[in-house]
Amino acid sequence: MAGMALVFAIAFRNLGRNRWRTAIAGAAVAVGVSMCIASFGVMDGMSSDMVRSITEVELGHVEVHAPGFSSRPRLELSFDQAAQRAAIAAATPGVRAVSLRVRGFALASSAHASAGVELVGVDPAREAAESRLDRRVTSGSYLPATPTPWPKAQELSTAERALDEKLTAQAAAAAANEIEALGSGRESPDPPELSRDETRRLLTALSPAPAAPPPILLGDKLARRLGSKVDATVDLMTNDSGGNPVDVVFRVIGVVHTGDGALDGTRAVAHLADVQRLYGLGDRAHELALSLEDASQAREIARSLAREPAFRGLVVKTWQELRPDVVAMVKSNGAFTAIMVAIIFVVAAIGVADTILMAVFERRRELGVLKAVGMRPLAIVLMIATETALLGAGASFVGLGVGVGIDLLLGRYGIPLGGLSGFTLAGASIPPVLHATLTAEGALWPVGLMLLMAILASLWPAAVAARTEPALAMGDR
Amino acid sequence: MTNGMAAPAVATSGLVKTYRQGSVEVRALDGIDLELGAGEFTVLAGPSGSGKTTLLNLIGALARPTSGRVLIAGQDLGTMSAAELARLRREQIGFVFQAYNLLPVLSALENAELVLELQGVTRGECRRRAEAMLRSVGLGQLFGRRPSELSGGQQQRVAVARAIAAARTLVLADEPTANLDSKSAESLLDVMVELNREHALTFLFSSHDPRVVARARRVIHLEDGRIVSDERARP
Ligand SMILES: Nc1ncnc2c1ncn2[C@@H]1O[C@H](COP(=O)(O)OP(=O)(O)OP(=O)(O)O)[C@@H](O)[C@H]1O
Ligand SMILES: [Mg+2]
Repeated sequence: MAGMALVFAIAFRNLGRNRWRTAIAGAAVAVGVSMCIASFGVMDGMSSDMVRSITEVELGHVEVHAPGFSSRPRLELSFDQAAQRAAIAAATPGVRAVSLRVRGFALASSAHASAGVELVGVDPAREAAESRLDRRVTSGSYLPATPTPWPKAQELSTAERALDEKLTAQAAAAAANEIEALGSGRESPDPPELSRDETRRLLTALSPAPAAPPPILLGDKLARRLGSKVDATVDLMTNDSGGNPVDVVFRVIGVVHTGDGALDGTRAVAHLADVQRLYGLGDRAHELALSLEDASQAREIARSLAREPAFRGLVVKTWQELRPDVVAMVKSNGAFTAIMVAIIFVVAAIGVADTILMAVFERRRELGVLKAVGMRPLAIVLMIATETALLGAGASFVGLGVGVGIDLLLGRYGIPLGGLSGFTLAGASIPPVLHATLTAEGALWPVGLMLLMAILASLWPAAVAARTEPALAMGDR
Repeated sequence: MTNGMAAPAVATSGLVKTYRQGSVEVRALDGIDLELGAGEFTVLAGPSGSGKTTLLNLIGALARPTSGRVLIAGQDLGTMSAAELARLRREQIGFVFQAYNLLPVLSALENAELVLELQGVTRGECRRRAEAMLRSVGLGQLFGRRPSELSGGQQQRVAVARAIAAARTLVLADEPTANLDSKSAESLLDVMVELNREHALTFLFSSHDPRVVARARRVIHLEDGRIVSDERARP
């Protein structure tokens, strides 16, 4: 179009005519953009802190279980060849570390109190690499690499085998009696005390106690509840995978603090081999937790693992699938920020539209002259839109600089939350200090959107300008 | 340069323009029949409110008449779209306004180039013609000045340069000397008379300044929206 350079020159120079007005409108845009970038930064920072807080303690970015385990963990939902599978998972590209775990429940008793615990058996080296559990030890020390030696199960002697058969027959008879008693209403006699002690003796022979109490880590809240300090012994009672009662004494080697209240109040962590032995699981385990080099690759890596023959029959899930509650929280966090940003933008756009509209009214005669000498209405629209876009672009880039600066500062120093500090929402802890994270999208979206808004906001004044009567140029009114 | 010998530069017939002011209807023009030949230099005279500005607006295609016709070089404005009228203004007509109406953000030279640029004339040609035109109105030294750095007379000369650099048929000027002292007014008139002779453009301008009226070769008197006299000086 003829005169585009002219249109641009007029638009650009018009910005310099009322410097104060331009500066104020520009400041509104710049503040808007920088606030948006900062909000996105803090929101992204908070979300990634939340995600990190859940994925860096126990939850892996990707986890592998037997079908059904993740929704309802049960001892029998285990998989075999656990160590080999862990090694295969660890060798997968993009996987930083893999933890191999056995999970069960037990009743822990100290000299003072007892409490239900979630007993987790881990490979100490793998767990340290995956969840950095070793760094969370607040007193005592971390689990040693080698498990406690447990004596081999003894062969039963002939006498003992006979006793076993006798006890079995007795138990069968007792069961039959009980069924009869149900029919007749008579009370069934308790099995004799003697047979109970004998059963225990036989079990001890079949699964003997370890040579020394195996080491165990306790969550700090749990340790306080049990009144157990480092070096104290804790008695764990549970049922093994065959349903038989087992009872093993552990020694507290350390106390850990993860920051997650639920974990610190219920977790007892021991060597994988000790816990496998306790539950009679052999080489079976319940969980592979994978920590990835890049958390955003969880979906792809989960998909490729699921296709591996080594994981056939197992369920591979991402943390998003395992913790939809946290995903929802991150999403609502984002939605809240987006609403705030939209409000800021609308306010800034109205400010820009108002400024330009004022300028248009002030320059009506000039616009009339341009119309009179034959400038096309479209060229006038373009001229006004260019003026607005230049103002918006200049101010947006200032805002970009300021916003990025704020993000970098907040990334480095953070906003201390004071009294609110360090609370936990569904296991995802809001960190005591909010850190901003700078992302390309978080910085460029507000700039792009603001430019778009500025141009849209210019259309109204531009339309007013384009309709200016050319006759305004004549006379001295 | 005119569009052939047959059509006059400007012709109006039965031109009426009424304005509504609340419930009152003002008849600004009340049946104007007028013909301007190519190259004529004509003054519209008349008291304030007689309709001079209104007539220039209608002839310059800046407003549409209530009734009647305007023809510029034989083209009937009533049959043309807004875009066609804009094009006609851009290509055929030069305007000089009472309030100068230069763009304050452009230099004298850029103001003189404005209409040429809108016409799509190439950069180099724009510059050459605008410079020549500013020199011929006696502003050879002041190309780079902004309007705010020029006197009223100098600004109005830039406006004349802008109008004449681009006009092909007609130059319309509404009281071009009204805001000037008598010396500036005289020299501006000299320039206009000179340019009229040189470029063979048709000039029509309004004034109630008797010295200006005295320089014209044809004087049309308006009163209450009607032509009351139309006199030609002998050449
Ligand atoms: N936009 C308008 N709205 C209403 N009335 C108008 C308008 N423009 C002009 N008029 C009226 O039309 C009549 C003619 O006005 P016009 O401006 O053409 O006179 P003029 O001869 O140019 O006067 P002056 O010498 O004061 O410039 C006047 O009565 C004026 O009040
Ligand atoms: Mg007038």
